[in-house]
Amino acid sequence: MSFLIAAALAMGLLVVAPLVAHLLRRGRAEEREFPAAHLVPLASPVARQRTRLEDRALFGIRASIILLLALLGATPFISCSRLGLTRPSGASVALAIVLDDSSSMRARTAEGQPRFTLALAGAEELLDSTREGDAVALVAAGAPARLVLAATTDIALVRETLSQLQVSDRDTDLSGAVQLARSALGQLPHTDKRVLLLSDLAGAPIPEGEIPVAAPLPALAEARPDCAVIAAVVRGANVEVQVACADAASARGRQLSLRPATAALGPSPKPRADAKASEPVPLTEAAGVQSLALPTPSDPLSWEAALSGADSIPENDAAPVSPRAAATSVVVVTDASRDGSATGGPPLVERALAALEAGITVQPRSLVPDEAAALEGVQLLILDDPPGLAPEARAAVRAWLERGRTAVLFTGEVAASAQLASKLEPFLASSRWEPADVAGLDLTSVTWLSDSSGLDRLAPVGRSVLEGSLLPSTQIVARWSDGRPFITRRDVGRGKAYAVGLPVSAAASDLALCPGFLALLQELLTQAERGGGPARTRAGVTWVFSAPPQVSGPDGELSQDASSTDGAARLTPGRAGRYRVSIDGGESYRVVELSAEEVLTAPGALDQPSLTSAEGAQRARIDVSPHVALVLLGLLALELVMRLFGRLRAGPERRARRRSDAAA
Amino acid sequence: MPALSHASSLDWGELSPLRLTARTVADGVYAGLHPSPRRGAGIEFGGHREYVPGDDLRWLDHRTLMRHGRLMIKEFETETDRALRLIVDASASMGFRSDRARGAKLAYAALIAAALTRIAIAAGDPVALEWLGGQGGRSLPAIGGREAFERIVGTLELAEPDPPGQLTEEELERALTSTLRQTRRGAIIVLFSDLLDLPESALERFAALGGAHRRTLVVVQVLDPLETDFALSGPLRLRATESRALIETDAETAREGYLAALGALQERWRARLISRRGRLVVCDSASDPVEVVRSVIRAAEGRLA
Repeated sequence: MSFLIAAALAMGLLVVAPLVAHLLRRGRAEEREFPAAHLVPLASPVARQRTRLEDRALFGIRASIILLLALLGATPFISCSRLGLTRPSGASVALAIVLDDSSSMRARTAEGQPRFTLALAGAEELLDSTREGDAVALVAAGAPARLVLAATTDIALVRETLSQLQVSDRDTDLSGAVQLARSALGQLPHTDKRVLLLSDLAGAPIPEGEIPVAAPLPALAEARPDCAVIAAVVRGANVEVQVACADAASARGRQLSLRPATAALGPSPKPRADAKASEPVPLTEAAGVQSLALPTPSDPLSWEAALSGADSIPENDAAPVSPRAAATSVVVVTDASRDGSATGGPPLVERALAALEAGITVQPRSLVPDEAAALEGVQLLILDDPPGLAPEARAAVRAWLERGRTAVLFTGEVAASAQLASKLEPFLASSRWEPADVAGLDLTSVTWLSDSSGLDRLAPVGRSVLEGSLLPSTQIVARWSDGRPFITRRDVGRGKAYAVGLPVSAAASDLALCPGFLALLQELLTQAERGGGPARTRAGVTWVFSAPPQVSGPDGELSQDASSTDGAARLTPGRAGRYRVSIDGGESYRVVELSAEEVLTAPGALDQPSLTSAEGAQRARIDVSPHVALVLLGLLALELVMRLFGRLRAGPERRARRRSDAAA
Repeated sequence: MPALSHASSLDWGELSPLRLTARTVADGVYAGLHPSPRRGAGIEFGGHREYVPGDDLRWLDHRTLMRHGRLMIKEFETETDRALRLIVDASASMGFRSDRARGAKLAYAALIAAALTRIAIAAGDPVALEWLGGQGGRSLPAIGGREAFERIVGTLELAEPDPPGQLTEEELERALTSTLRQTRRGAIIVLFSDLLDLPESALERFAALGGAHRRTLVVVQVLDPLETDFALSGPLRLRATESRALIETDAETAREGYLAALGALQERWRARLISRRGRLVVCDSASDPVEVVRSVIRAAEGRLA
């Protein structure tokens, strides 16, 4: 601090001047002679209070004026520190703000503020320093990384979008977010482009790229103690609870127990009246993930696992108990003797399903179940050229389909020769097999498959003729190159019934050997999972439903994503907890879990080679003189008004008294 | 600050010169009173007697003649003392003057007293002057004639209020005892005071002057306009003139209570005086002195409520 600054600030010591004036004024002016004083009732508290209040307001204003004058004198040398864009070239800037909304951003800093709040404030300060012509894009770094707002010069829109962002329990996807940000800026004409990371940097290293990346808020990357309940899953007689701790100190002295579910973690069935919290189990004093077992209560969905003690993220100290997740179950009805595979082993369909590595459970059957109960828990039914369906089997499949399930029927010679009592409903009315003189499919009709390679070169020995046997509500979703239907889809209740014009058998065609066949199975599995859905997912994973459901979670009703365009309902829960899914009168519960990585990954280092600070943003020194002068003017006006008001209130009496004093 | 300077002369304000102002006031009283307030004053009905030849027929009681057929003469008692006795309070509080007053309370009281003196002397009645406290004022016995007005006004002009301090019982007793000793039956005693700093016994002692001796008591309470309406505002620190006590209060809050206390004081004096054939006249030093003098005369005649 220079001598000039000290001298200017020393002017602030004159703040005692109004105090002295105030005391002098209060002591002298109020006393006056009055012969009938003994008739005047005492009201000293009121009098003193009024004197104090009135004078204190004036005193405060006058003292503030003097302090501001001193500050104004020093403002050429004093500046406020706030985040601002640097402009080495003076040109407009194309800026992508990557705001980390992952779970780790919930951590409170040493000052008690959540990292996300600091990041939002930093983003606001950055927007304050933008100028006309600057373009700003917003990217959220919670997994999956999302482009929240494409680059725009409408800063007001950016502010509005920013104000709607909320922290979530998602994983961190910094790498993806930076790539998204760079691509958002890529096409802009600005020469000065930069990506600013408002994150704790707890994630993968920042990828190298042409557009520089800076992390202007190092305070976000300070390590904070945290333990979190990652998952609580029923496994037989025990509830297996996974707890992740960032360091050993975070786990010290803390205990885990089961307690009746609270509304903070979302809706849950009411616990039984005699429900009691379990005996607590102490955590091991170590960093990392530890698994603890607690006895399973009789109604586990009504409970949650909770940690005692406190850390920097109280929101993740409890998690709802969820049932063990079942893998997607697929029933395959096929006749291995007609499979056509010369190498032996499981049927081709089963091998194709295994090749998908989807973690599904395959149940091979030789006959179609004739009771709906036999299909309970099954998400996908694959029928490979069956000899028709008996009436009981048709009823069972129809009832099962109507609950939102998916089934596919591969038709061949056997299906075409179905007995009189056996039909192919609810897929087709019937089918007819004929020799094929066509080569391949019309690829434009199968763009809905992720991979259609090989399908245009199919050379079947024969094919099922599907036209003429289509039932109502049936759509043709794939065609042969001669325009005849190859795959049809029929809506049965909420379910989908697919019919394919070839069997899987390699003897009939090379369909099962095409990559497109695997893509078809993958699509069918995806469709099937929409009907049932997993019971446990991570935050940020999108749920897809065939019909709009009603989903309520810890934050209330969950609204659908705006990007649903294919008729399916998509919802993305960002908050960990229990969700109640109501669809078509049925009700089920799903649990959204945290990622242990969010707890275990330490905040990133700022010295990553891909991070630059000089070209990004920095704590700018901003001249506050205009603001100080404006406040000073306001205070002066207020002081004048108060004095005028006081004079009016005193009335002629006070003026006369002054005249009398002067005369004396 | 009000002009209560004990080192300086009394603040006469617009009331000086007293001699001219008092004459003007007295003339105003004459012009407004018909018939003269002195006419018949001091004559009291004394009873009836049988008519004897030679009696003045003006005093024949016509009503008795008509009712009973008898000639009866009304007899009247003539007062033995028709003097006007003025007692002027010159304690410290009487030196007070606010900006709305025409002069100090003592100056205003002196003006009213001088005007009454001129009226009484013009009617042929003697006038006496006594002081409650004060400095420079001499007590005068009952005197009449053309020089009496000049002497009394001269004495009034020399009046100075007491320095701050309570009027003592001894001072009160000395003044009232002197008045009581020199006042005979039928006299009119007029006390000019603000009644604010008199000793506790003042009311009873003054009331004792009236009563059985057919003396007429009139108390003229002279207040400053500020004391009448308490037109102050904001926080106040009031210093009592006599006791020097400091009262800290708020004007808006205290006004109602003050006016009530003042009203109670006046009511106490009024009630006690009425029981002794006395009257209380309240005025302030901004009032028209002509009207105040008329009120005093009406009070002396017993026509003031």
